Amino acid sequence: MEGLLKIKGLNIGLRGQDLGERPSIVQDLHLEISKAESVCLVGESGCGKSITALSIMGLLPKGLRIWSGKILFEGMDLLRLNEKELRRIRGSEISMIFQEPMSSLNPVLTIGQQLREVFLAHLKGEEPVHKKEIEDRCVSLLRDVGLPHPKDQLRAYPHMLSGGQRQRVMIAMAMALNPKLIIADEPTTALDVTVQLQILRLLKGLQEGRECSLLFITHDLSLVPNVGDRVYVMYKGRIMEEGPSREVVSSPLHPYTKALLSAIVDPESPKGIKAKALRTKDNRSNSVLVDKNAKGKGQGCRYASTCPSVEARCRELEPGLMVANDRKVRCWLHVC
Amino acid sequence: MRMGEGYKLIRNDWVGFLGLCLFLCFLGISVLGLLLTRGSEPILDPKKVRLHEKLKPPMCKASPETIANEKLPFGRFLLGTDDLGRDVFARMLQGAYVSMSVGFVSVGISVLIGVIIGGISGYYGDRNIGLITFLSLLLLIAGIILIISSNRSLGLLLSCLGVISLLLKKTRFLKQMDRQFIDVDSFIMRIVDIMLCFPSFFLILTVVVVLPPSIYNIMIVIGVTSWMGTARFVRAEFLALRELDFVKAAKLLGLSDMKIIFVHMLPNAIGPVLVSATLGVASAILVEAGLSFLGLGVPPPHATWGNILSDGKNYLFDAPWLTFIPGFTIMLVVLSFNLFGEALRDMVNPKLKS
Repeated sequence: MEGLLKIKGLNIGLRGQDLGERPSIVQDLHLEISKAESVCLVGESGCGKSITALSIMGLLPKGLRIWSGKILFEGMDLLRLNEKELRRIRGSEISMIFQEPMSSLNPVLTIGQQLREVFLAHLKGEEPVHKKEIEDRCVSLLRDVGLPHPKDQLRAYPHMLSGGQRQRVMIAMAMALNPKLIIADEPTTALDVTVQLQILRLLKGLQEGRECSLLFITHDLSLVPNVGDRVYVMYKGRIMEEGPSREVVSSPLHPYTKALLSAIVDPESPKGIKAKALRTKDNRSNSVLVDKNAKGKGQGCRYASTCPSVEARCRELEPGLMVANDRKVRCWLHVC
Repeated sequence: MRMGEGYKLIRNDWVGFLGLCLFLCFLGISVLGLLLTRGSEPILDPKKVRLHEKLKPPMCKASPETIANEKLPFGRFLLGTDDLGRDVFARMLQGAYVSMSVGFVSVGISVLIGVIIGGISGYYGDRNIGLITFLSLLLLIAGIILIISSNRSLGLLLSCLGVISLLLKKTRFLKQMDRQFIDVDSFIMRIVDIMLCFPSFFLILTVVVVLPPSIYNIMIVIGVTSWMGTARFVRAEFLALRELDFVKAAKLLGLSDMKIIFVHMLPNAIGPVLVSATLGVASAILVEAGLSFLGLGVPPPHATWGNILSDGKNYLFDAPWLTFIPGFTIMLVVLSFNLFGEALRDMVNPKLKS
C-alpha cells in the first residue's frame, strides 16, 4: 500500500527544556498511515496521543516544541511549510474531529453558516461557486452523516442539537472537502455508549466510502478492532507496541498492552466486572511530566516502574523496537 | 440573527421594548428636527429672536402679531421661550439632531477603534515585539501625534524614522538587537492604561480648546478618547474565546485569522460590546451637553441640549422649564438607551431564542 502520512523520529519537548535531556512529551515516534487505511493510536491520557495529532496539524500548544523529526504528508514535510501553506492543507487535505462536540461548534452561528465557512475558505481561488451550490452540498453532507431533516438543521444553532448530532455535524465539517486524512481525537469519549457505536460506524462507513485514511485516537482498546486496521500503543511518549489491530488485541505482546486490555470492562464475562484498574505506583505517575524514573537515571524502560514482569535490565536500558513479521514491540521479554 | 426572532424576544421583555420605542421615537424626532429647522427659512425657526415674548412658560399662547407673522404649532409656544424669546421647542428639535449624531458617530468611532485594538491584543497577544520594533512603533506613534497637533515637520521626521527602522530591522545588524522585549498584549494594554490615566473630560476639554470649535471635531475627540473600555472588553473576551475548542476547530479547518476573528470570535464577544456601546451613546450625549454647558461645544447660534441647559441656568427660578426640559430629555434618552442596550444583549444571545 502507498504511504500517505509518515512520521519519522518525531521528538517533542517542552520549550524550556535542556537539549541534553530526553524529550519528555513524545520521543522518537515513527508512525505510518497508508492510503485508505485506518490506524488507531491508543494510550492512557497524558501519553502524547493528542500532541502527536496536533503536531501533524501544526497547531502545537505554545509551551511545546518539536525538536527533531519529519512529518511527511504525500512526501512533503509539514514541519517545513509556512503558515499559509499549512492553512491550505488544513481542512481540505487533513482535517480533525475533536473530543468535545459540545464546545467545538460556535454557539452564535448556525450549522449552515459554519459549514459554509469551510467551503468558502477553501474554494476561493478556484471557479466561482454559487450560493445555491454550496447550500446543496451542505444539505447532502448533513444527509450523509445521517442527520434527519438536513435542510432545517442548516438553520439550527448548535445548542439545539444533541451531543451525538453535534458530533455528526463536526464529522460533516471534517468531511466537507473530501480530505485525504482525517484525524479523530477521541471522537466518542464525550458521548453516550449507544451513540458512541453509531458515530463509530458512521465514521468507519464514511472513511471506507470515500477512501480516505483515518487516524483514530482513543484510550479505549475495545474500540480498536472495530475501527482500525493497525494499532499503535503509546505510553509516556513512546510507541510500545505496533501491529494489526486484531492480533494486538487478541494476543498482546507488551505487558502494558495486556494491562490496558485487562482494564476493559466486559459485562458478558463474570470476571469482567472486576476489571483491574491500570496499575500505577501513585496517582501522579501516569503523568509524563512527573516521571521521576525518566528524569533521574533517564535510561530505563518507561514502563519499568509499574510493569508486573519487570527485570533488572529494564531499569538499566530501554529496549528498542523488536520487529517480528508485521508486529513490533518495545520490551525485553521479546528479545531473542 | 433574524429580525423576526429578535422582535419576538423584545416583545416579551417589556422594559426593553419600552427602551426600543423611546429610542426609535427620539431617532424620529431628531430626523424630523433636522428637516423642520434647517435652511434659511425653516418651518420652525430656532434662531428667531422675539424680545417682546421672552421667558414665556410652556403651552403659552403667542401674541397675535407673532401668530400673524409665523407658523407656530397651535399658535402656541409648546415648550415656552427663552430669555431672547426664542422658541424652546424649535431649539430642542434642532439640538436633538446634534445630540443624537454626536452620540452615534463618536460611539461608532470608539467601538471601531476599541474592537480592532482589543481584538489584536486578545488574539495576537502573546506574540513578541522586539526592541527595535518597539522603539520604531513608539517613534511612529509620537510622529503621528505631533502631526495631528500641528507640529508637521518634526512629526514627519519622527514617523519617517519609525518607518525606516521598521523596514531596516530585518538587516543582520539590527536583527541581533531586535530581541524579544515585550509582548503585543502588554504593549497595547499599557497604552490603554496610559490613555485611562488622563481624566477623559479634561483631555476632551484640552483638545477642544486647541482645535477649532466644530461639531465634527467634538465627535472625533469624544470617539478617540473613549475607546479604552471597549478595547478591554474585547480583549478579555478574546482571551477566553481564543482557548475554546471551536476556535481551534476553525483553525484546523484552515480558516484565515481574519475569518476567525470576525466571523467566529467577534459575534461571541459582541454582547458586552453592544451594551457598553449603548451606554457609550448616553455618556457621549452627556459629554457633549457638558461641553456645550461650559461653552466649549457647538458654537452658539446653533442650539444643542447642553447649551439650552446652560443658557437656562441663569433663570432657574424665574423660568425653570428652560433647564428642566433639556435636562429631562437628556435623562429620558440616556435611560432609553440603557434599557435598549440591556435588551439588545439578550437578543444577540442565540441561546435565548427558542
